[in-house]
Amino acid sequence: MKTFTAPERLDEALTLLGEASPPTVLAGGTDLWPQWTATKTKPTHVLSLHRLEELRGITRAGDILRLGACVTHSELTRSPLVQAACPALAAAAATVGATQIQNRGTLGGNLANGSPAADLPPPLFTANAEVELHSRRGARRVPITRLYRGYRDLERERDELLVAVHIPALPSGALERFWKVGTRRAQAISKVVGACRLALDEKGTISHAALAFGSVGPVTMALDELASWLVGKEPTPEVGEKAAQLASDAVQPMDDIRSTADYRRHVVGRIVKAWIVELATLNR
Amino acid sequence: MIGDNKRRKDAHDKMDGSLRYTADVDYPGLWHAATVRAPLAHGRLRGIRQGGNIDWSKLIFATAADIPGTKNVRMIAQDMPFLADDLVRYKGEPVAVVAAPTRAEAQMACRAVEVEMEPLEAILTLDEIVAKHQRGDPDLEVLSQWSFGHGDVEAALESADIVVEGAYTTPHQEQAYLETNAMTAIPEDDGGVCVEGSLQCPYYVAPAVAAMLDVGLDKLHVRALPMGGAFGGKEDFPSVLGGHVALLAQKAGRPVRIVLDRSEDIAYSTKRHPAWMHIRTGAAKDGTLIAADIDIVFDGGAYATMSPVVLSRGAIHAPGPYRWPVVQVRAVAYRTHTPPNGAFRGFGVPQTAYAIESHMDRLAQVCEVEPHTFRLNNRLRIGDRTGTSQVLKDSVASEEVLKHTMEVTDFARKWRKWGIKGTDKHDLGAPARGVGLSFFWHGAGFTGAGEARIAARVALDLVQGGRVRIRVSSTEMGQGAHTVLPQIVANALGVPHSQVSVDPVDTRFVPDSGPTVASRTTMIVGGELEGCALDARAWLLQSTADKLQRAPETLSVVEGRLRGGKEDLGSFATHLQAALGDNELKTFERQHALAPHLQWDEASHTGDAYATYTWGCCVAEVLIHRDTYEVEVPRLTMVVDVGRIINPKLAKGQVEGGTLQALGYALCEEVGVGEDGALLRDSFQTYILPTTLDAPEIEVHMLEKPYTRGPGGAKGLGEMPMNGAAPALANAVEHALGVRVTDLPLSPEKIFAACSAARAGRSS
Repeated sequence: MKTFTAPERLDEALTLLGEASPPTVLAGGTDLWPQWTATKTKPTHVLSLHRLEELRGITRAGDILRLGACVTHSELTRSPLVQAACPALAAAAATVGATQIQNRGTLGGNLANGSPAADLPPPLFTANAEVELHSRRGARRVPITRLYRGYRDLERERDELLVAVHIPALPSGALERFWKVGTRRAQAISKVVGACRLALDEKGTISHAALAFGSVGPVTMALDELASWLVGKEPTPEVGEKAAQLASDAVQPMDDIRSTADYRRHVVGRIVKAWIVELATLNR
Repeated sequence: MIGDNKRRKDAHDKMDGSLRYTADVDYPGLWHAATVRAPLAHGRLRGIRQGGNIDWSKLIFATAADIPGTKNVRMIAQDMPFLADDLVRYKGEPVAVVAAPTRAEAQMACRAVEVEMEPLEAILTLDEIVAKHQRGDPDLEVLSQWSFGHGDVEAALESADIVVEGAYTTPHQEQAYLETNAMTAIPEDDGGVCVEGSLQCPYYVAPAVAAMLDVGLDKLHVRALPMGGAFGGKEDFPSVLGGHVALLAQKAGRPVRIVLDRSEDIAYSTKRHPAWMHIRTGAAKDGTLIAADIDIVFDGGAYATMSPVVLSRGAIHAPGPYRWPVVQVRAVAYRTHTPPNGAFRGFGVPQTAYAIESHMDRLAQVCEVEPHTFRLNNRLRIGDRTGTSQVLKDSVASEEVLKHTMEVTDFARKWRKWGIKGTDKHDLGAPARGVGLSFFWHGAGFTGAGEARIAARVALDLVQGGRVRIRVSSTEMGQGAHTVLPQIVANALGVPHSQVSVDPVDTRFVPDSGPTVASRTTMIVGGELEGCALDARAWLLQSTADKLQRAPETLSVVEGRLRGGKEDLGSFATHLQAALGDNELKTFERQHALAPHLQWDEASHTGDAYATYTWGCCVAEVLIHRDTYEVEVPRLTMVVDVGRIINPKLAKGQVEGGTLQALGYALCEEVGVGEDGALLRDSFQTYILPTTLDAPEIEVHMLEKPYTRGPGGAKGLGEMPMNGAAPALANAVEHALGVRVTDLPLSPEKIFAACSAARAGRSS
């Protein structure tokens, strides 16, 4: 590492990112540092975000929760605002790495690293969150469901910085769940990770459905067709079983170092079934 | 003293961080080494070119051509080169070593070396060798083989009412010590070399490195530094690294150190042998055992190294602690083109114990006898004959261990209530619940004539001032040897534990007590030290008695004071001073000899395989998620007999640690071999060790069946806790779900696949 820059103002950071060879962006460092160790390489210029106030803080305005990109997993887990507006996100953050990792690792880093096994994207997908990208050219918002174009390929230009995430709060009466199957009970990378937001109307039929899974394809996958199919149906065990089948068919898992495609398909289906069964209990 | 929870002598320095490990010790002018590794799993070296933008004149570079003496590492088998010369037999095999002022420079230089190879066909996996073994393919290279047994197994199986056959496989396992392998070589003023580091067996390293340098043992000594764990992983491998740094240090004329990083350590140091075990057994209708025929294949890796002895121990324990009227065992280790497999706590037994104990549950099921009753009925007893035709004469705790286990775990009731066929009503929303049992044994000390060959020597110094110093080559690797050995000596001598210490382990100053392996340190080395201490005590009492003109048998040493009956005659130190006169110290030495009644024929593997055995029983309780097949283990109970316990707290720690290590082996640890022959999971991100949250409550019960020749009655302890959990967990999973996974680890993926196959079988 030849240069380490830690600006206090966002425009300084954006100026650096606009240069011909932009620096490597460092947030918590929990992904970058192991990569540097493994490859025995270090970038020539690192831009650290740790002094940028705009990237911090958890605030709520109306039905929208704003999370700075440098909010840590620990902050996500402990925040009453997050627990209320997106409980699945708070639950997801609590399963990432060890306590030390949760204290350093950030929301923005987890999203920008682009791992298909990342734990935070599924609850953000099902909450229909948006990410706020800034560059010298201006700011724009991208729905998180459009953030990932392909394997570790993000809808983010080289000069853009992920500054914040905006999350529509969970409507009252709706069900939000997070489920992770890891390689062990702590400090585990996901074999399957998923989240859902489901709601019933007064007749007891499904009025809203959003489901998303990670670690089962090249990118986090929103199960939109399944969601559309579910809307208007009653959460009966039969619907649950059919939904499980549709979910298993929709994902694109593979055999890898952590698990098998067959197992992942099966588990995705069982998780969806369990959610539908739980949803039915909201009727009572 | 024996039976007291003495605090570990290394506890303070470990707690406050002042203990210095190999990588912490500084030397002026120290350089750092790194390794150039072969790019292919099998082939001939065609060229090693020092390329890149490197000023090679400023570095030290060495290949096999630079080795002045023996090119192969002296181990049990002597077939592995320090540095590959012509033939490369695994991906990552060292072909050259580099020393540079910093580690980064050494590593950068290594990356600049181009290694050219002409590829040869490689055999990489256990599956491949088993397939060839079953076909009788002559391509397979045998690294070691043993066969033994008694009786006509085919005729016996023919006569049996019930015959059950099965095959079981186990994977590589990484020792996962906290401190990675690290060695330093320091040239000394007299022209000699000191090799120090994280190593279990100084007298393995010393002759291996001396032969490589072509110097006498007077010019080479080895120091064992404090270790952050070893588990067998630092038994044979330090000889390789010691050779590398000694070669570089001699060439450089300065100290050179190598410290492996974690991924290098996992990828290239020794692992537990992957194994395949095929078992055919016969029993009478009432469940009485008739015969066992056991075929064992071990994946030896690229070189034989320790495989002959690991395979031997695994095979001897393969029939389990049962009375077989007829038994035949054939075991073979074949070469694969992967890093050599070597020593790991349990030394071949965790593999065969998993196989036989999984199999015994199946056999019991077919015989319609409950698993605990089946084991109790068929257990080995005093007077019974083992697979090697050893007749058991004493310290057989099979019945006590089994019965105590039934009592403390309430196994029978749980087994009848839980499980897929249990009487409890099954709520499909709740996890599937099961309980499993395993029964196992472990031979203490070296196999067969091993202890006679080693003839362990120990020394005890009584020093002016009253200090008592132990000189042995047994190392402290975290297991507590340097606390327990002083307890044995202090107990026999009659002095406080604080007065006894173990000298730094340096081959220049300590005799060869043999390697720190095979659960032999407390029993064998401790036994000889107890003898020394009794000799020392007798000498002191005689000398004091002479001076006081009393009969020596009227005197005693109690808590560091000499006593004549109830009369206090003064401190141990005072009387020692009188006895020593002008001498600074008096040394007592002993050498181990095998008990004369023990007979062993190595070639036929017949006779007394071990002087004594330890006995154990494990009960595992599992909860299996019905959707994800994740296995939760709320409780593991271990009931063990390891003879007299010297230090209960340390002994319990050993049992708990070994049990957790076995749980990892059973449920999640897997290295895997890639298509190119590289070991796949080479970091703690991908090689899944159990965490605190994965650890069950481990309940330990210790029975003490004394062994007459062990110190205070102690037997071996270190390895046997590794044998029990894997088969107990496999049996518990089968009990819960009705499917048997015959291939470790018992991953959710495999349990799911087995359940799917069972469902498909039922519906077709």
